[in-house]
Amino acid sequence: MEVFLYLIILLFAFLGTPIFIVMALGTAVAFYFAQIDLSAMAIEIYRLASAPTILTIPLFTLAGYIMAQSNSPKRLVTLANASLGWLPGGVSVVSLIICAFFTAFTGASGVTIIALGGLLLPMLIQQGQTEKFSLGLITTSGSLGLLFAPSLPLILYGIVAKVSIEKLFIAGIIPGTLLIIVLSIYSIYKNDSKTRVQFNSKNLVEGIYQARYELPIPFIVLGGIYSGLITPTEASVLTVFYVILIECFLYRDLDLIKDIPSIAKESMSLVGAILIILCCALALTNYLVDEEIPMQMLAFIKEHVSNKYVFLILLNIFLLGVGAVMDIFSAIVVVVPLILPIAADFGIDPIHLAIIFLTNLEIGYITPPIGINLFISSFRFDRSVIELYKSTFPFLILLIFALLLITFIPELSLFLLG
Amino acid sequence: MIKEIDNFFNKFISVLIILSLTIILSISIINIVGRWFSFSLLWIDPLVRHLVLFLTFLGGAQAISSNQHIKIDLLSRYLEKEEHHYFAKIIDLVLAATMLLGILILFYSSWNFLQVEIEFGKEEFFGLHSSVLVGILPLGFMILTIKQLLKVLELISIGRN
Repeated sequence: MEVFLYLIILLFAFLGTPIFIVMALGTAVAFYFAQIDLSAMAIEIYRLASAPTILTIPLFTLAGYIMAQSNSPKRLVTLANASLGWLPGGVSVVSLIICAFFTAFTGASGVTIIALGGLLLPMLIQQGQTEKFSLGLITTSGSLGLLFAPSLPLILYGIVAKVSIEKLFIAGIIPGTLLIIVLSIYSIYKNDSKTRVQFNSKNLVEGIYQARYELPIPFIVLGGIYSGLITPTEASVLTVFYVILIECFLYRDLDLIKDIPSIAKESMSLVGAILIILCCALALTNYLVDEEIPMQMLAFIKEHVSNKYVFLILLNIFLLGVGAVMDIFSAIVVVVPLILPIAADFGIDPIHLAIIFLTNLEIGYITPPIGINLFISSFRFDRSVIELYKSTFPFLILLIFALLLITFIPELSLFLLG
Repeated sequence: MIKEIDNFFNKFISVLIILSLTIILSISIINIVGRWFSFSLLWIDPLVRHLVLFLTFLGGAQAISSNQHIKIDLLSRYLEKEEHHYFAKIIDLVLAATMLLGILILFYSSWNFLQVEIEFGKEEFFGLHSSVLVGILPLGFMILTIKQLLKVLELISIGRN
């Protein structure tokens, strides 16, 4: 009977029932058969109110949404174009960097493709890139900055795995940059353009002047946290105030009364959708841990795998599979508590594991069949998903190559942490 | 009629979202500035975290309206095709009813937790009893229940028409 109910819930999951409901129903069935009172579910959900850095999730998301709705994307594209547009394939490199910046703030929620896609696609095509390449590049870039602070998945991982968020912010810098470099080299190699933008120092100065208020944001967030002046939570509060100040009063792109409330509402839908999964997952994963499922998995894996590197390869294959069928937020809250003890037993540093995990899930955004960026691009640019499978394929292979480097060279993630 | 109630409810949720965010930002900035001057109010941090919990439910309710709840929507994308339109409508209704059932289970669970907390809870910050804070859970799930119920009713009325 119990198995039958789980199968029904699984069927409903594949039919499109929201993940948090799937988790709630699964937990309720498990609790019922284990004769645990249902109020235990609510007790676990209430633990969310004691997570110390929980405030960073709504506030960084709000700041990212405000910037995405203003003219910030335009200003940053102008600046990046003036500084790097002269390179062969310079516009592609610009696209990668700008998308990474926005994704770090909007949490790879699709906002990057929606907000920047319309701006970057014509620019790339105008500079002589093929449409197939340009679509692949933008679709891939939609999740590119996920390893940079203050991305939502980094914070969520820190909360779920009880790993220092400050350390994760530092650890993501080199691997995140590596992903951009790998894709930039490919973009430069694929550059067919005969027309190249001439470097013009006047344009660069103009670009810096235009984006003068946006440029300090990463320094406020990262500099403030690493100098010990502010905590990540305080950084999120200050970022929201700063972004509102510049967009509403200095640039005057947005109106405090007319625009900010609707942006806040929109961003909180995403926050609600993510945090409610976290709530329900707290109950489910706690049950799994109580039932010693991770320990049973560990015993099973140790019976068949003894080598750390074989384990890492298997872990990557497993996580790529997870990324291909599950969204990153659900994957973090469900899978992380299960693999943490196993990885620890194989001597993998928890911070390194975080970066491996998030890189896999980042690749999951463009992995067929249901990588979410493929569908967002399909919707945004009115192209078939199959067409996007083809255009993102070379990028997928390159990201997997970078993933292998990140997996087998732990120093990439741990070097800056000393 | 259902649409009007839903619109009114949406506006109510929007107001609560803006209000919660405004309070969170205002008291958090007081806390930050206070810390620079070695002055801190201990109740701000737990209050903010409970407001984020409340915001989770409000955002979750909003996500019901905007159909933004995260799901594995492989089959639903397939069913969106024109030739499967009628079948997709039935599936939509079944899924909406399942979601309502899930939310009701969560409401029931949190209601039981509240009863326990009323009996055995203790005083938290600001002189508030812990049951008041735990009350956010049944309140939040009640908001989600109302939103989802309205959605189910709307789907039924669309089906009838």
